[in-house]
Amino acid sequence: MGPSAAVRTPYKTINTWIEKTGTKILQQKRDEAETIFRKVGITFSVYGEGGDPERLIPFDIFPRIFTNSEWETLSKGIDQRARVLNRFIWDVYHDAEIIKAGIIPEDLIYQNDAYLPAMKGIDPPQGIYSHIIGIDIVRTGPEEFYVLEDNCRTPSGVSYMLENREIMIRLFPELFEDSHVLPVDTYPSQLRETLRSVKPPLCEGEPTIVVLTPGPFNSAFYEHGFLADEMGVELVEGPDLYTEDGLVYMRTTCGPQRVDVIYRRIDDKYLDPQRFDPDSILGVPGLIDAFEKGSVTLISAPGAGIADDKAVYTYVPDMVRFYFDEEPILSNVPTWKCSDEAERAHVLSKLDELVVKEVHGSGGYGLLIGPHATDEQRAAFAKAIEKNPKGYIAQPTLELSTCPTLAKGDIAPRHVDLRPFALVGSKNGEMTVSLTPGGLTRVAMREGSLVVNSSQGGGVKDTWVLKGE
Amino acid sequence: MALLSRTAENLYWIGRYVERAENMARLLESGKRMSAIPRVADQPPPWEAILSVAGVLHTFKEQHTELNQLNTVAHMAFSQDNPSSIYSAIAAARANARSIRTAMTIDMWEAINEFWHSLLGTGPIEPGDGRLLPFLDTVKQKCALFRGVADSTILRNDTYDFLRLGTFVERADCTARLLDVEYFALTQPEDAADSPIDTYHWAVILRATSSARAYNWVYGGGYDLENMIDFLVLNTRSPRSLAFCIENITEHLNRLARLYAERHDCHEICASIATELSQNDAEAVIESGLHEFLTRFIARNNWLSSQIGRDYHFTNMALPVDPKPEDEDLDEVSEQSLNQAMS
Repeated sequence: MGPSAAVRTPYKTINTWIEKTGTKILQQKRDEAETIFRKVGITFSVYGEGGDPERLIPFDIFPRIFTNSEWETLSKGIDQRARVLNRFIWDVYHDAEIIKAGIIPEDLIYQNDAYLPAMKGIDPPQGIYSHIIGIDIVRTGPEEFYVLEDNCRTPSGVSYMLENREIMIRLFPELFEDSHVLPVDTYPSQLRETLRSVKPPLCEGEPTIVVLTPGPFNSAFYEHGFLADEMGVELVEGPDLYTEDGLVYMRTTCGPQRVDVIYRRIDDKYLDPQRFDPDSILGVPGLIDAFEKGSVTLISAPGAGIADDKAVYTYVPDMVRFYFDEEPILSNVPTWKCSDEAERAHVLSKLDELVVKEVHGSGGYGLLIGPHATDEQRAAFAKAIEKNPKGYIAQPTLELSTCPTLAKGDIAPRHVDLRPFALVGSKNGEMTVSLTPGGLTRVAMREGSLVVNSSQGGGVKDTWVLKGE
Repeated sequence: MALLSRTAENLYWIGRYVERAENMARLLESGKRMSAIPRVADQPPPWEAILSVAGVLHTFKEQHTELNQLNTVAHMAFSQDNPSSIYSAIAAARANARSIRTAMTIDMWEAINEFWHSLLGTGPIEPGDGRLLPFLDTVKQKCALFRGVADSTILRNDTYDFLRLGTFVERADCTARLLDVEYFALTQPEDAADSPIDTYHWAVILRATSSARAYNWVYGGGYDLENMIDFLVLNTRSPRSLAFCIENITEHLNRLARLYAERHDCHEICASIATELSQNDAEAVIESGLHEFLTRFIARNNWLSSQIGRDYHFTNMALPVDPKPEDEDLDEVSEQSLNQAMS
């Protein structure tokens, strides 16, 4: 649905079907879906949101639909963005041309927690730092997409893309009969291929790949196991691995076995207690040495997070122009940096209209939605901005697109965003980007709400990309 | 291809925990039935003996002062502070299963996950409310369901072997302990072996092992010490006997040796236990002292368990580790409290 609440063409078929089926049966189907999620133990929360690790996220049975041409536009934009982010990270840890050229202020990089000085001059295999990029996108009008943020470290939610589709096919097989919806189930094999394509220089032959999880108490643990299972690789925890003479091994029933590629779902600072947080029990002592020596590939490379910082985000369009001499296909949401005096003054005068975000926070808590906030909340944010201007950016509230959603027994429009997952690998020495036609659609389940995060009552939907128009 | 050691270890402990939950249910059931036996004056009910054989008397005493059915059931079925309670065992099995989801089939996971969810909503059970025996039946059924779906869905590779090793190591331990405690109850001085009370005890032990009918088929009825020992210790056709458990452990260890093309110390230990069982008959066991025989078996079975862990590089991450007490505990209880309780 667009802002006018008119039903867009691609939704017409499903709308007819909805009317025919009736909300009562749909409600039943929705409950059925929840039972399946609970029984299979699919629990989830989006990266960094915290909360009960075994929480169920509400599943909405109405799919989000993209036409093929809409998806085409998006894919090109995502492809460009995934390449430029990797190019940028490489630059940051090598010649820093973009800083020398005065495009990005050096403080923003070198004073940033996500910048890892240890990575300077190190070449990850094929020069790729961020192999799985989740780009959060909102649609505000026909063919009009904005990027909300980039997730270059270990974006989660892809298991939901796959499981939501499975559940939809199970509940409504008739909707998929004429196969006009492009499949998403190729993702795990593409992921595996991506991981294979960046095997380390010291690995001869077929690489041994593992998924490294912080363990069952992590909110995305289900996803870690799911991906390992779908790829047919081991799911390991820190203590399953150890290093010796710069090589990484896992402990098996037949003794040590070499590990070549680690898709790690733990943060940089916990990776290696010898190099970063000495108290980390999630990581593997000596892992960074092994990585530097070229005996193991870390997915994503340590330090890749510098590219998805909310303040660095504002420079992505400039990066595209600087490195590729192209115009960015996907726009950023117009953003005011509170570190800039003039922009800060603008933000402070328009607090009732803008969305203010904390730069290093994530998950919708360090967030002020001006039009929906109370005077006290706005005053508190104004104070916080004055105190630490560098810590905040502001954006206009967008006329987000809505999508039909089953709410309290009725069908109503609700705001949605989309996280597609781009895979960045290598083929014949060239960087490749592949994008599964689909993604994680998050939906704000409360009327009028713009916050789609699961910790704030957001839900998920299946995402369809149609074969034709 | 080898298995991640932690996965093997988790599977092993899932096997042990599910079997342990089932044995706790069986012990409580036999306690409930024993408490119905007519007792002579001053003779206490059987709960202390049940707690001892379950190896949880010490944790019980830390939390309860009064020895009765209510407290025993609370401790052995629902206590979160007793790592061997039915609840704790299934919670641990489920936690282990959750951390190795990739090595479990969906059916196995669902069986253990639903089992755990159902326990969350049960308890406490009051004496006389009629819920104890149905609850224990449900526990046994859910354990059987898990074993059943595992049996019909798991790949016949090393994951299967480690799961089953855990099952049989635990079962051997439980049968040995059960027999030991019942044997003490039965062989108190001056008791005629065919007194009605003794007959009832034999019936209880067979019931606790779900094998009353099987016993009758094999020995033509009639409770007799030699036959009982043959049935629960030496007879490889009896699915809860020590010999049957060791035979299965041997089979799975041999499968691993073939798969990995390597034999370890645990294979030697297992072979020596198997030889000892096969070279004895019931008469010889009684002559050498059943209690001594069982104590030695339990110790060697524990040794085998830790050696399996060492040989396959377990990392002791599948916590809590075996909460069963040392063997002095068993000796102590056998000699003191049982003498009092049952004489």
